[in-house]
This record gives sequence, C-alpha cells and structure tokens, in this order.
Amino acid sequence: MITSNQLVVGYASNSEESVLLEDLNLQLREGELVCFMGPNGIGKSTLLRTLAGLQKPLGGELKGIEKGKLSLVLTDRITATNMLVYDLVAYGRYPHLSWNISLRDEDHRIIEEAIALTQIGHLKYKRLYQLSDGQMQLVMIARALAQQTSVILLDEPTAHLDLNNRVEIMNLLRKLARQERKAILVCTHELDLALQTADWIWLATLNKKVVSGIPEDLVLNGSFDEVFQFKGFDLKTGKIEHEAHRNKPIQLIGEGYPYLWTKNALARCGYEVQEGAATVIQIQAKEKTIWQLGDRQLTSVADLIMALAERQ
Amino acid sequence: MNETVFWSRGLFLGFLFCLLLVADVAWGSISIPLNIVLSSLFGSESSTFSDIIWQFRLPKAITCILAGSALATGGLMMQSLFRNPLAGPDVLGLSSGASLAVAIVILIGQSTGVGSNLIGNWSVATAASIGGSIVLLIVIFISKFVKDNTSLLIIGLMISAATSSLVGILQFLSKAEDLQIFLIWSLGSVGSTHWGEVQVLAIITFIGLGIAFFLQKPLNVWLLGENYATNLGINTSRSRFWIVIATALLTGGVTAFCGPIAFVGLAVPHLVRLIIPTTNHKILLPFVMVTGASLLLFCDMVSNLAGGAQVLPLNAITSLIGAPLVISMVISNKQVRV
Repeated sequence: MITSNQLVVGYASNSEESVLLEDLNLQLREGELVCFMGPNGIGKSTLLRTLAGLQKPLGGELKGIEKGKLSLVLTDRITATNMLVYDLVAYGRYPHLSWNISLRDEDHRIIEEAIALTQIGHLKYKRLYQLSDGQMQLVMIARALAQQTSVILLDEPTAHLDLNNRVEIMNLLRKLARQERKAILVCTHELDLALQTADWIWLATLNKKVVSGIPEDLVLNGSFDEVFQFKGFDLKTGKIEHEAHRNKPIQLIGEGYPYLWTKNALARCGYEVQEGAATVIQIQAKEKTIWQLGDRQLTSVADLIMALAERQ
Repeated sequence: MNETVFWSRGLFLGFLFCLLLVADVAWGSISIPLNIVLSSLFGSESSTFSDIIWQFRLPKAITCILAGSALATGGLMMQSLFRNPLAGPDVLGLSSGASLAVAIVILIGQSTGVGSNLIGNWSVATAASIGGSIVLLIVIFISKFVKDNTSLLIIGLMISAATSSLVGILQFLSKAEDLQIFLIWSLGSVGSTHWGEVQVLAIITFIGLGIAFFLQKPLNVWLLGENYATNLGINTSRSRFWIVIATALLTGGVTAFCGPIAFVGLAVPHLVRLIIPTTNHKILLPFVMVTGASLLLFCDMVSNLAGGAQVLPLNAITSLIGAPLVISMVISNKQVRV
C-alpha cells in the first residue's frame, strides 16, 4: 500500500517552486482500481510522476514505495516502431536481467503469462507500427505486467481510443486489480467509465487539493460538479440538459427501452414530457414497435418527430 | 524473424566481409593475383607483391575494418540514445572539434613556419585527438546541466556549427597550398596509415567497441525514452555518460587517423535494420560492426579502382555508394525507423 502524508507536488526550477497539488493524504491499496480525475493541467501527471519516483516531491512524505515494485504506462510515444511486440513486453523483465540481457525460461514464462492476461497472443510477432492505438495500450499494459510489480500507474491509457477499446482497457484494469491483487492508479478523463469501474476516485480540485472517495459519494456530494463546472450536463442523471423550447408538453405512454429512447428524442427536440398533457403518444410494442400519435401510426422515432413538427 | 533466416543472413554477411577483405588486399592500382595474396598472408612468399601487401594494402584494409566498425557502432549508439534516425557519430560535434584542431595545425602552423616539418600523420592525429577531446569535455560538462537528450543533441549540433564556422574563417584566411592539404585531410583517407598507427587505432577501437558491447542493455532501454529507462532500473545519467564516452573514442580515434569519414556512421545502422529487422542491440551491435567494416572495405576498393592511378577521395565514394543504396532500400521498405 502506498500512503502519502502531507505530500506536495509540483515543479522546482532554479529560483522558484510552483506547487500544483498540496496537503495530499492519499492511499493506494492492493486489489483496488483508483481513477485519478481532474481538469487538464491541474497536476495529475505530476503527481503520478512523483509517485513513480521520476521527480522529487516538493514536501511531505511518501511511504510504501519499494524500489522496483512499481511499473508504468505513460503517454510517452514509443518511437522505435520496428520493435516486435514480444520484445516490448520482454522489457518488463529488464530490471531482473544482467548486462547481457539473456532471458531465462522463467522470464519467457512470465512474458507469456502477461501476454495471455492481456489477450494479445495473436499480436506477439507483429511490429509496433502494425498495431492500432488500442492494441498498443494493451501491449504497454502487458509490458507493465511482465515487470511483476505490486503497483501499476497508468497515465491516460484510454486517450484517443474508441468506446469499445476504452471499455476493454478499463475492464482489464479492474480484472487485474481483482484477480492479481495489484494496486492500480489510472489518470483518466473518462468520467462515465470511471464512475462505473473505479473502486475509489481521487479528484483534483481547483484549490490544489485532492478529494478522495468512492464514485457515488463524490457524485452525490457535488464534488464533481464543483471541479468540472459542467455546462449543461447533469451528472446525477447522466444526461445533457435540454431546454423545452417548444413549449408543447406531451404525454408519453409506454414502457421499456422504446419509452426511454423516445423520451430522449423528445427532450432533445425541445418537447417536455408531462403527465396529462393534451398531445398523447402511445407506444405499442408488438412484433414491431409502433408509435400512435392521434390517428396516425408511425414506425420510427424519426417519423414521429416529423409528424409532431407538422402539427405545429 | 525466424532463426534460420537470421543465421543465414549472418553467415552471408560474414562471407561477404571475408570476400571484400581479400579483394581489397588484391585489387588496387596494381592487381595482385589471388594465390600470391594468400601465400603472402599465410605462407613465406617474399617478393615485391608481398611487400606491397604487408606494407601498404594490409594496414589499409585493417584501417578500413576498424574505422568502418567504429563509425557504424558510434552511429548506432547515437541513433538509439537520441531516438533519432538522422543522428550519426558526428552529432556530438567531435569531428568538427577535431577538424578545427587539424585546421589550426595545418593552416596556421604551416604559414607561421612553426610546424612546417611537423605536418606528419602523428601531429595531425594528435591535434585531432586534442580537438575532439576538448569538444567531448565541453559536451560532458554541459550534459551535467541539461536533463534531456534532445537538449544534448541540440548542443552537439550547435558546437558543430560554431567550430565549422571557425574552420571556415581559417580556410578563408589561409594560403592555397595549405588549404589543399587541409582539404585532402577533410575528404578522409584510410591509405596513409602504417602499422604503428594501425595499432593505436586498433586499441582505441577495441576499447570503444568493448564499452558499446557492455552497454547493450541501456541502449535497448533508451529506445523507450528516459522515463521508462528510469522505471526499468537504468541509471540514466551514468549510461548516457558511457554511451557518449564510447562514441567519442570510436569517432575520435577514426577522425584522428583517417579524417572525418562521412556517411558510414549514419547509413550502416539503417542498412542493418533493413537486413535484420530487430531493435535488440545484442543482435544489432555485431551486425553493425561487420556491415560497417564491409561497406568501408568496398568503398576503399572502389576509390582505388575507379580513378586508375589516382586514388579518389574516400568521402566522395562513401556517399556516392551509400546514398543510392540507402535510398533504394528505404523506398522498397517504405519507411525508416530507429
């Protein structure tokens, strides 16, 4: 477990110190996935680099970091793109090898294990320039696993990835925390994913502090709203706020997913859904979903919205 | 890449190297029959031919081997340290420093009459070593203050530019005949070394290559950049220091005895990566050494054969042969990667 006590991080140049985050009393426990969130430029990467020993803290103390017991996945690009995936994963074994870097059977076994855990067996003999961004992140995570450290720190591992890959990476990290009992810290901007996968959230606030807690508490006590100052996004419902600019209330009758998504479309198009309104839409779920508006029967949400517009 | 392809390409390169070595000894302004070459080397042949071989051709061929492998290894180390495919052994500014010192000896020493009798190989070599060493000390001194490799690279290039302009001023101010001596030196040559010089060059080269060989782990790790290198337990400032020292020994030694030989250090690592696609220095280092030696042997042979009685300048040949070779391989492989 890593514990920080009144830790201060930031940059020190020759004459002046610029403090980014201070009074940090944080814990990173084994078996837990912690998502570290906050606006750009607030000092997330700096804290991560300080925890990793890449830069010195400006004050306070850090406990529980043993040498060689921490691995990293950074945003640094690997420029040697001619490298084999297997060779990159093998770098994880380097701290355990002597000057002539000959891999023992034991090392090959550990590399294969890391490859199996991240399910990149089919990429083993590909070169880095042949990989997609998502595959590259999996390879970097495999490399960190091959290091066999109790702590893994990752800096924005899901940046530039599509939704599917983002979910895959976060699920993998959670699995590694649970199954392999690793302590995992992820800097991320993926609010929705973090809320659903993290065991614990560190939230860098605008007054140079870090608030920590489980995701739900931070949503309910408004910490997220304070930090991110959402513009038109309601975190508690997870939806974008719409203005009912048409001033035409509609009563919607139905159930299940068709009901939810029809309501979504109506809100997006500026209609307010209201119990007992004059205009009534009834959703009938038969073989096909049918929307009944007055005497018209419509077969898609698009047609329904069009029909509503014609009425005006 | 599977093992058999790897070994067969390795064997092919080794065979090519031996072939070029024998050919370089046999061919020149006077061609020597192959059987006499072999009997001079291994038997007790004593004739004019064997004198030519032992006194002239063999030291020249060995200089080619030493210089080629030294420059190519230096280039590989710089490309890996700086993660830059355009880096070569001269990016640290050593060759420019050596050039400046040699320019001072030839252009000023000659015209003031101080060194008129001293302009031999040894004085040029000594001047080049001193010039290169001074630049090396400056680079190491500055590298204590800069944290990242890119700054080091820029500083090396700036020192190169500054010393080159000093050389330019010296050239502008000097007499035509002195200028020609300096110009010939700056075009590079492997033909003016005798056994004594070859011995010194060999010792310097072996020390440099030895250090490089022990640096294979940090060289691999530097490919991932400084942050990962630190995390993987590499002492970054110490390994950077030794990489700079090894490159300085290799480049400085060659420049002292052969002049600033262009292109080999930049091109050979790329050629090797195209022949053997790997990023592992354990494999790259020996291949780069053998390929560098082979390329310089070949270039020397061409420079001796193409000009008839006249030996063409080595730098012209290395670039003329190397550039199209690399361009064609790059085009067929689409992209150059470190």
